[in-house]
Amino acid sequence: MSEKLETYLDEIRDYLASSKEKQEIIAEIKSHIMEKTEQEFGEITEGTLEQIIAIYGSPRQVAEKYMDDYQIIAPTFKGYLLRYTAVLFAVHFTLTIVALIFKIRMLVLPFFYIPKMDNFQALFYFPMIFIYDLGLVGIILYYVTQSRKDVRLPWPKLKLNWQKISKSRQAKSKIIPLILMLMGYSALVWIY
Amino acid sequence: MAIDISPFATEMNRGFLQVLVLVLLEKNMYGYAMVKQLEEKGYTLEENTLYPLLRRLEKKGLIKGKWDVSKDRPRKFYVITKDGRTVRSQLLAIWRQQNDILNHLMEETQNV
Repeated sequence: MSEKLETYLDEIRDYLASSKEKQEIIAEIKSHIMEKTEQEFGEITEGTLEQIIAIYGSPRQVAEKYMDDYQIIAPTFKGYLLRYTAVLFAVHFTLTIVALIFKIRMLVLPFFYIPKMDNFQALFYFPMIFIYDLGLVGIILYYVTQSRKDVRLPWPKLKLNWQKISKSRQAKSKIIPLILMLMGYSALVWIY
Repeated sequence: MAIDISPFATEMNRGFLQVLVLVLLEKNMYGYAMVKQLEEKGYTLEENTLYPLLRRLEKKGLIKGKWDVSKDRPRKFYVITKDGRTVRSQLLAIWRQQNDILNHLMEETQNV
């Protein structure tokens, strides 16, 4: 096979995410390029192949056309990526501050481990936990997207009418257990 | 300044090309022959648009692809399936209905 064509196909292969179909797609593209070259020029040489490759499109563009329907995170979930990361980071940040103040290490299963560190080390630790939290949320949203299930992700509606809430028994019955649960959770972390 | 209509045309052509392919593949054809036949009818398209479309239609079971390895170079031939014919007739019905709606609207607008 031509060296130019081989390099071109290798580049497309690198861009294609779906490993199952990679081989078949590459075989198809190769067949199309060879066919076109022969039909347009009457012979397949390095030079004629190069001309066809030039008009076929850049490897990235070609690969993208095959991945039109492939999404890492569904567009409807993208808004949740930053929201959930912000919440997770807030929790992670607070726990790190607690660990710093009391000079302890913390393990909150299954995701957080906060080592014992000084303030200087914490300066480097905070950006790292943000990236960690972003990655963790990204992975979860990736699996939710790939499951192709019609999942409705939870997020509290913050259009609250505090006057109504203060009068509503139903709302109180929801908020009080939530506060108690948070307090209990904090106590557990503290005890550990 | 002239407006570049190519993004709008691409968007519009996406569905149309799907129907064209399903109509064209009533008989066994390979990719390059399809491009040439469409060009003869005045429809120009980029091959790197057609081939991913063929793959998507094949994955959905609307067309069937088969490699012919009898010649010195393998070629992939495609043909419409039973499901493809069902989808095609429904798509054509939608297309005709849309055409009628557009024509009626155009007539109404001209009469205003």
